[in-house]
Amino acid sequence: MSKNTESLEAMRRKIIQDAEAEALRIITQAAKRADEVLEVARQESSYEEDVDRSRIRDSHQATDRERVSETMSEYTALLSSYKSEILESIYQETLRRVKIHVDSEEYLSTLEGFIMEAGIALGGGELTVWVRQEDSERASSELLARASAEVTKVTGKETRLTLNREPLEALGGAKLAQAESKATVDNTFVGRLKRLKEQRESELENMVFG
Amino acid sequence: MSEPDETPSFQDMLKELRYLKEVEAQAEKIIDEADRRAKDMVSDAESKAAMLLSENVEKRRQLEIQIREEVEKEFRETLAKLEEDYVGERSKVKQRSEEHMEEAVKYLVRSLLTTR
Repeated sequence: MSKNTESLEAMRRKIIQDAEAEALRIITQAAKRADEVLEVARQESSYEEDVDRSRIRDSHQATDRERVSETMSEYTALLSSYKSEILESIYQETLRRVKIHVDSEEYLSTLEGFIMEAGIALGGGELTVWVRQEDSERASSELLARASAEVTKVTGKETRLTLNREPLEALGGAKLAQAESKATVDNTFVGRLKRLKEQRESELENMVFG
Repeated sequence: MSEPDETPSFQDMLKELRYLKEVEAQAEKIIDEADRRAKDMVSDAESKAAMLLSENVEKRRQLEIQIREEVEKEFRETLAKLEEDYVGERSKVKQRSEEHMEEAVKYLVRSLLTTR
């Protein structure tokens, strides 16, 4: 082989070797890039699944918690309303029995007690008394005199009870007003029941509902 | 080709040049083939990645349906429990109030009729 031929062959080998080296570099780089693309896709897939699971669950549960809370409030309101209905029926039954008492002989003594109690609460003095039409016929001047004396005795203030002829619309009991202060006491059964409800509602609820 | 120690003729030099050009073409072919394979590899990986992400979208959709059903089931169970509790509590209230109604009415009548 001549020198020229050898040199030419060396050049050929060098060119082909360089080309093969470049080809290898290109393939290696492409393989690396392909691996990276797949790895990123794999990472995104697995990452999203974990995150999505808790995100979706949290979002649905948050909505449901609100719905559960609303439902609980509804049931609480329903139960409270049911208890109120029961208490109302108890109050109605109480008034029905009070009506029986009002129609009995003992009622007059109760009425006298109510008038005295209201008179004492007002502190005595010039007091006007309202009672039902039927009671004004039964509330004798003797009854009022006895009540006046008792109020005077307890309060230490000279007391005079005057019956107002205007009839009281009530189940029973009396309403009193003091001339000086214009203060009034509603001692009808309904008025007393209203005060009882305010003062002893929790006691009554404990008794009825435990 | 020229003989050793001889000055190459123009024809010989032209031949050598052509030979080298052929070699260069071969080298370019090798590199072009590598480029083509490289592009295919990356393109193939991108297709696989796209498929993976597309599968992931479907998986997410299925996951959403599955979780929604699970949570809805839990919700229905909770509601059923709440209703059961309410019915039970209402029944207890009814029973106890019936047992203590007479006592309460008597207490109220007594309180209403009693003066201080």
